[in-house]
Amino acid sequence: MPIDPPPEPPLIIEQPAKPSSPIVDMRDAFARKTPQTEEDRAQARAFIDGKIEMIRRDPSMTDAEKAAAIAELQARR
Amino acid sequence: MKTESNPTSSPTPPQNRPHKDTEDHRSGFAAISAKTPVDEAFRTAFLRNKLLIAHTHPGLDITAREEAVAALVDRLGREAARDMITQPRPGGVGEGFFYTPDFKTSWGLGTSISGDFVCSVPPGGNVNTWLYLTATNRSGLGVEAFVSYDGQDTPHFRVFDWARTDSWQTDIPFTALENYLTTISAHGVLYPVLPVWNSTWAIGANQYRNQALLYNHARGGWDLVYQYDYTATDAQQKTGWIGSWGPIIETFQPLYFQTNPMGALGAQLVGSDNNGVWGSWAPLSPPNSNVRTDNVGFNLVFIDPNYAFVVNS
Repeated sequence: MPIDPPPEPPLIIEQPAKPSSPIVDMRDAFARKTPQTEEDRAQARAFIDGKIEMIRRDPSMTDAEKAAAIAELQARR
Repeated sequence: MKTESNPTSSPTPPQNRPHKDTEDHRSGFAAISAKTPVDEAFRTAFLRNKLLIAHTHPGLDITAREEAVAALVDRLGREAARDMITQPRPGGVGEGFFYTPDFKTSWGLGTSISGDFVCSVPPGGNVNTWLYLTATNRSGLGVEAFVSYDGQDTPHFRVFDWARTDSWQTDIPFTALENYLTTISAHGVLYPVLPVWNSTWAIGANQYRNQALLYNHARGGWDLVYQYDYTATDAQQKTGWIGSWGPIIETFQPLYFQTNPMGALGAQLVGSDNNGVWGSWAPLSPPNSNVRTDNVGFNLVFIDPNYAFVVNS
């Protein structure tokens, strides 16, 4: 069963609770205005490569888990 | 040849092997060693690694690290030490939390995370390339809505959407986020923070929505800054490694020093069940997550298991 609307706003843990105002849609102000560039694609590959290194250096994962996770990310590059 | 017996100053041989007398072979071994070419690269690497261990030891405070490093630098040489510090090394986790496998998949039709990234401006110290304060909401095709440092330049708030091939979306410099950047007190200290909330949930049969929101402290409410609807399956959302990290500091240098406070406060998650009913927000906690520290030089200022941490160096 699909769900809509989204979850209720998170509680404020570190500060006393503030009154919850409605969510305001600011997507127009934040939206990307230009199409993806080759540099974006290169940065995306670098971003994913960083995650692959994160997997390689994970002390808690087995070799098999690392191989599967790296294959998952390489498919996204 | 035999050595002189001196039972008062030497330990007795181990008991697990037969043994009669100890023979002195030092001269023979010294002769063999003298013929073996000196491997300077190995020697340098050996000392470099000791320097790295000293500089990143999680059990030493900053002063003790500096003393240990100073003692080693004399032997290593400042030039070699500088080389080690500046070589890029992506893929580190300076500090942060990873979800347990059970918790990563223990949601039905939706999952959501909120927290405040402690994001000093500038990052300070020797940060000279990328460094991310990021988190996922457990879904395999969700977003990373995160703080992106690039050296000492103005940080950016960015959204990387794992559901898209054109993954880079929102990219806003901190200079345009004055309504969102604020301060929060934790353990008696005021920290600069960016409160971020991101969600992934089913909006139809095999239809999902990713959202990223920022808390607008000027008006006291969340602003929706990014949204994307897409087709996916439950298995795509819950299988694999992507989505396994909660708040982390993702690093790209082998070690850090003299950096300003960074981290995350108030990390909390909520999931919906298979009927689409959302549960209650709850702080990330030890049964649901593990701490990862890659020893890249950060010093833990505090950790609240496992919903908050701050590091410096």
